[in-house]
Amino acid sequence: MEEKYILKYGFRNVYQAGRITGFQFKFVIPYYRGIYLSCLDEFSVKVDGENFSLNNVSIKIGERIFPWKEVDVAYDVFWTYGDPATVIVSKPGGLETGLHTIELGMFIRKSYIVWTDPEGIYDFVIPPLPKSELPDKDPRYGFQTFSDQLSLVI
Amino acid sequence: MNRKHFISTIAGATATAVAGAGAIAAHSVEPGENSVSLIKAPDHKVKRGVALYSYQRALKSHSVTLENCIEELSDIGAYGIEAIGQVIIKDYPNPSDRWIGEWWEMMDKYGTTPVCYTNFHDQWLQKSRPMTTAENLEHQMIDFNLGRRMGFTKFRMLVGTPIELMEAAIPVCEKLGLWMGLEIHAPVPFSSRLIERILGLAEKHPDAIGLLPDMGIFQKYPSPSAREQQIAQGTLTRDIALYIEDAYRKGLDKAEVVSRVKGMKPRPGDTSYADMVYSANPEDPKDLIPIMKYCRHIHGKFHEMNKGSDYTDARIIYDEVVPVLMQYGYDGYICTEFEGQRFMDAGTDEFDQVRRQHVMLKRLMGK
Repeated sequence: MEEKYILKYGFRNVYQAGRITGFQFKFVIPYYRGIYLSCLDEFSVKVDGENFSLNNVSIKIGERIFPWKEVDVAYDVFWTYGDPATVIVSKPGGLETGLHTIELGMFIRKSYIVWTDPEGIYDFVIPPLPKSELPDKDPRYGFQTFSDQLSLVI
Repeated sequence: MNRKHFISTIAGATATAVAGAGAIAAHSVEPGENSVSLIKAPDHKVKRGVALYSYQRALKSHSVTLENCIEELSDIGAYGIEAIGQVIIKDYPNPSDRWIGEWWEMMDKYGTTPVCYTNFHDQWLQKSRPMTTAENLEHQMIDFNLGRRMGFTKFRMLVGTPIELMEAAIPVCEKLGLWMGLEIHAPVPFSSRLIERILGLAEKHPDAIGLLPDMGIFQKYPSPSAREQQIAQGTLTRDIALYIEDAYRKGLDKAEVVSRVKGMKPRPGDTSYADMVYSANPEDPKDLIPIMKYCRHIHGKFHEMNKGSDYTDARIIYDEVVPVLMQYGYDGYICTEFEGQRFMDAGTDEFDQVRRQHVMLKRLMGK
């Protein structure tokens, strides 16, 4: 049974000082546990075919907002299992009222898995590769993509 | 080294000792000669519990609360709890004392017991490098302390937990009264250097470290739901799939089956189905006997119970494993973990699946 990660609620334009500065939507973690935010390794946001630079993307966890470049070092921020995170995208003027196609991509680093194996005791699993050879060859790498159509009102 | 050789060299002395004790404590539900009551408590030490991961979809969507799940465990007589700290703890890794207090109130209210804390060791918190062993141990203390506050004394260490960390944590565990069990999870073979290393440490420090078998290693049969999905998608032919499964259960030789399938006008999916069915490589339940004294918890993974009133596991040979645990003196919980969410159809329910497994376990265990 397919699970939905992009939520139908929470999608709106973002207003600052009476102007629309961007838009936001919410998603829940596509994983079976909560994670430290620094383990959100890669990310992509595309709306109606337009790719947004991560320089214009922030992630909101609880009440704290992290510009994408701060996510990497958010070692002490825990994204709770089942609690929606909010993606905030800067886009002056925001989005029009109506239907929008959202495409979200991410790689959650599996922080507990063996990536190096100096003693060779995990050789029955998969020979660990240097990370420079990722992502194509290592099955532990998994960039996930999700898409859905959402209605924006304001 | 083959499996038999490995078992005999690593734990040979233990095997003899445990098998001897097991023979005395052999499971029996027959009333004795002088028995007055027809009801006799089964003579074994295996207990039922549930890993809350089983209810992951319901918990994630907030359609049930943690308390609803704990009450359900009590309602099915599965009083032992296994849980992932990073899933159930509110405000992990810094829950309030109030939340911890509420946890204990639930244990009192429903008669449940915290048994095993599933530990995800986030050694790759940084993108650029894994933690050093000293950093690992410091970070590990977060979960050890959280688990202790909640009453968990056993920790399920996932495959991938650095051996150096487990070794460094032994003195801490001995001091705090905690036990770490490295999961034996497919595809980790019983006879591997990893298990050998842990057994070496367990012999010296049996109260601090050992092995924690995941019942997924006894998976022998394919998923009926996955088969039905492939049939619905048109990549698999029902008659051929059922023939292959039936032949496999009867122990027919693969070459014979493949040759017969060739004559049945197969689609590509039918041919690869034979490979898939025959690729199952379950461990032998008897291989648990020599390591049983080092196993203080069992992770009762399952993916799918059969439909209807049969109450049998569709894929894993619990009917062969549970009697071995009872007979050879396993002393601890089997905590059910339903992990078939991905294959669920609209009619499947996590709570129902767990209940079905517990009907099976109760029948096998007599309690």
